[in-house]
Amino acid sequence: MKVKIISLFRDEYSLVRKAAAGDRVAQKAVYGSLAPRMLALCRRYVRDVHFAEDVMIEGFVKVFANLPTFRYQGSFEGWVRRIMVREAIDFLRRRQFVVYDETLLENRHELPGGGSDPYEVEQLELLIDALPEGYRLVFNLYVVEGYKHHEIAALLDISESTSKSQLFKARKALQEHLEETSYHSYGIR
Amino acid sequence: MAFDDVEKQWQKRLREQEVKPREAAWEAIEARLAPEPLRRGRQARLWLASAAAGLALAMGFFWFLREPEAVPLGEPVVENPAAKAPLPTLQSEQGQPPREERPVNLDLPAMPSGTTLARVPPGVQGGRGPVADRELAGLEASPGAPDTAGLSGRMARQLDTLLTQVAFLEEVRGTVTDAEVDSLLRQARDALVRQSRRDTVSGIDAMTLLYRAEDELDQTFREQILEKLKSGMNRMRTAVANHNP
Repeated sequence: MKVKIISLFRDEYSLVRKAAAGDRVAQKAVYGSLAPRMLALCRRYVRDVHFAEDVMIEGFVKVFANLPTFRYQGSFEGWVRRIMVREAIDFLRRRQFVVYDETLLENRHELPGGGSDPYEVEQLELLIDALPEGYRLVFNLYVVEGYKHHEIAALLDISESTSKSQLFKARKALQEHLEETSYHSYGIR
Repeated sequence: MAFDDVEKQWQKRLREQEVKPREAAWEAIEARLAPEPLRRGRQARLWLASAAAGLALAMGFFWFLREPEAVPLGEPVVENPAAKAPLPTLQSEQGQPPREERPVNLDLPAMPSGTTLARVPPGVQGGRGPVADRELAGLEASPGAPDTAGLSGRMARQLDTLLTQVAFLEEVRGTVTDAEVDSLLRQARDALVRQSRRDTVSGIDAMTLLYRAEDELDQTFREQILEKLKSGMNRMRTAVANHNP
């Protein structure tokens, strides 16, 4: 198993090296292996799928331009994800989509009705999409991408406390929704 | 189940989620990427071809510019014995009776170049000529055999001229020294080389230049021509001697 993982990494790195050298076939292979997941990532930040695709394209152009700076330590996909996240945030900033609402969710976006399974990806997406922009952004960064609050603060140019409060409110909104849709056992302590 | 556990499940599923992009997305990315650098193999082949072409041009240039090899001093040079060599000899001996044992054939200088060496009257040995002599000497190329660059034909013609010159000198002066024969051989060789050069210039192309340059690189090329001329002449002389009782 260990050998398999090592050879997998070697193959990935050799492909990345070729792509970094400008080999078009290798670049397309890298794109083909990562594009579907990267578009899903961009879609979580940018609701419109066409805008999300534009963000992904811009992100991949930056990935290939910066490939020579990749240090071949750790996951290549993780490195690409970070570039995509940054690109999505820049896009939202340029469009001034993000408003960090300090008031609690009470009478704003109506969350959609729950499905039969709260783990179903489509259902999750609908729930997250229904969150206000600020909540959604911090929730995605913290819960899905695994950023820490100080990293989120630096990335979004906000304070750490704002990041924490946005996450708290996002969680609360989701918990309430799950309660309403009789998934009490998943979220409420 | 705690909400943290729910979040972990969400994280796993969301990170694995995939949305297929449109085909045009890659084209849009590709259009903005830097042009693909030449591959190593193609690059190496291109360099090799350029180097070969450059070398061929340089060698062709030097081949064209180089002056013909100078004939060493002290050796008699007979460029056209039919026109020059016999007359001074005759003029210098004006007033003296021609030697009986070696009568000078006054028609000989006017003999057209390339005439036969046969000393037998044409009527006696009808049909014999340079071609027949070369056949006897084994120098005539067989009809089906390919003659690359026409070198054999030119060499045979040079041999004819050479033998005519030697025969003429023998007729006029009685003896021909080895140094004179060597000098004539070298002249014949130079004439062959010059002719090859003219051919190159008249029908110039990269491949011919390359082949010529390769020949030039072979330092023994000229020596080989000289050796061939020598052996050809010896065989022809032997053949003629055997043929003439």
